[in-house]
Amino acid sequence: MKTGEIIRVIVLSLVGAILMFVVQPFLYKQGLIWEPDVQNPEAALESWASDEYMAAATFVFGASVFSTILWCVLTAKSTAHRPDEIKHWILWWWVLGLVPILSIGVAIGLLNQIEEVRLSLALFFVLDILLLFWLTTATSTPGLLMYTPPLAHQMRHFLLKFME
Amino acid sequence: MTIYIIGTGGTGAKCVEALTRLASVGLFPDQPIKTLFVDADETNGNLERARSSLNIYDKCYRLVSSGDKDQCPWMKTKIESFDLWSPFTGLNLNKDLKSFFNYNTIKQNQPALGNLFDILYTKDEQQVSLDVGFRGRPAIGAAVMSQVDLDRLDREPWGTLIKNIQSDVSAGKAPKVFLCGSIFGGTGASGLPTIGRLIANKLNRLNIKEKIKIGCLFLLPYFGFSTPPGEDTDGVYARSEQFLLNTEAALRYYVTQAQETFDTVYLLGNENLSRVKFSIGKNSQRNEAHFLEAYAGLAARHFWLHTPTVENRVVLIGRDRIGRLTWNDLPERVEIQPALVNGARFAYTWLAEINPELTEIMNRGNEAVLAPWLLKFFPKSSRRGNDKVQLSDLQQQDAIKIISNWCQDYLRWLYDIHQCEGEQIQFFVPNTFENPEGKLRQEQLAELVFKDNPDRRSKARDTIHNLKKKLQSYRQDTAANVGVVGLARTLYVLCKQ
Repeated sequence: MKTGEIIRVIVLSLVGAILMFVVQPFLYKQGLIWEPDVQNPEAALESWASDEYMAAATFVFGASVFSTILWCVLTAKSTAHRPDEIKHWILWWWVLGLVPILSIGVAIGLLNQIEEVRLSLALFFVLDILLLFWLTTATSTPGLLMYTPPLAHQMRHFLLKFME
Repeated sequence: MTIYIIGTGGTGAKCVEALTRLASVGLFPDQPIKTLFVDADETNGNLERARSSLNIYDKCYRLVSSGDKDQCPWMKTKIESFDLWSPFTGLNLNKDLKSFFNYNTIKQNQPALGNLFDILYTKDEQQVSLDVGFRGRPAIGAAVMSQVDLDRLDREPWGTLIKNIQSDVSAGKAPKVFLCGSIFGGTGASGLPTIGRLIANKLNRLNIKEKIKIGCLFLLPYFGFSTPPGEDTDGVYARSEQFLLNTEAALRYYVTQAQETFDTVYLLGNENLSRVKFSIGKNSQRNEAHFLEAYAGLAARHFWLHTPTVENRVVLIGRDRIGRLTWNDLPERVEIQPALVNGARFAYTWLAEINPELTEIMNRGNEAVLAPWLLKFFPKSSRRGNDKVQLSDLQQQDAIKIISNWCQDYLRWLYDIHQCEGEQIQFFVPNTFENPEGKLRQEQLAELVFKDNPDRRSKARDTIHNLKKKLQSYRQDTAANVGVVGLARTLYVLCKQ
């Protein structure tokens, strides 16, 4: 992997971590997304955000980063160079992409007990895995497999223009 | 500086053929080479092969020669061909010795001369058709060639050739003339010293001889054949067993008559005679390339690059062991080996991987995303001021064919020079490209070059996969480096080890 690609993986993972562990809990704690119908909503939100949300977010974050790193390692080691060989890797990208998607189901269904936040949580987590998995792999997949993630070609092209 | 190469006879044509391959991989300077074939047998198979190679070279040169020649030495030398001159060109008579010398008139007007003619040549030799060449008989060839008068030759190509030499001298370019051919056959043995002497005389009369170096390469016997059973034993055709005798006579002629003609003389020979198919001439006289012809090309290179400063200096080259030829036996190995290897690696990679893949991408439609190494050579937008180049363009498709033809031609020649009977040629591993028109295995890229102790680590790294990765991350230095030509030139540079 090139240095630029490694840096992009680290930076995007850090941005994702800030979003998931700082920005999103902050929005919940402020009651901007959902306000519980209890006597002390601030305390309830505080408690939910630091317990259930953090567990769910850590789970989704872990699954996304795991998939991303696994993808980068596998593609860096891959010797595929012919179109038909490269095509197979598109399927593997989707298979690895399923891991964070499934993790959202586990996170909002099992780790979170509050039904009212499920939709908002799902939307947030989808955005998070778009950043942590899709954007990171689309901009940082190494070698000849660089364009296998969807829209990677356009993203790389945009990145190149931006850097020029 | 320009060099004029005159290939005489079938072997001379094969030397030009070898020289073409050496020039294509950048072993000659970035100055024009001008070639001329001299042969009475206009349909000779060896001549046809050499012409075909020149044609492939010319097409490829026109396609890829632009760009930085220091960075990419591929096709850096322009080769112009004056094509063929035959001593029978323009003569409306039967191509036999009798007609050529107006035997009947001589016999009638000068009976003594006619009788001498009868003593020197048998009835068969007088009457046999020479449209197949001089049938391995230098005595016939010498008689015909001695009638050539360059002063009276206003016919092409001699007129243009002499004018070109004169212009080069006027421009202070110090041109060189190099003649090559066999000394044991018919056309070469008789034509080479004669043509050399005629050119030297002509240049002398023009007062430019001292500004021009004339070199010559004599190939001593290096192949032989058996006369097939059933062939007329008294027939007029080349005989292997006479080669040494012919050689001895021709060398004697050179020592006594032609020594002053040439500034440098190269002699090449081989102990083992390669077996070739018997042929009287014409299209069936088509021998496979021999490693000695590669040496002939290198002799031309040596003559061009190194003008001898000491008269009568003897330069020797031999090989370490009879029956085996290795990279160490090559003159100026440091320059020659990398160039030959670079060309072979490129040709192999192109045929094994790039050409099939381009065809596949074309057939499947626009799926270039699956070949990211290709994208920068076919930019979708016209950034950097380029015209948009598409793989499907007719021009691009033609370019693929031309480059593939050169690759096949080069590998086929390399394969042939490894097939000499009784010789172990240890330059390349020829089995890896036995059939360049067929399927080549891309896994064998690292095995192309013969190595006594292959380094496993570097072998594992030397893959087409890695070459494609390098192609992908290669930064184009010029906007013109796009399309199939840009791709091929870049790949050529990256194939250098």
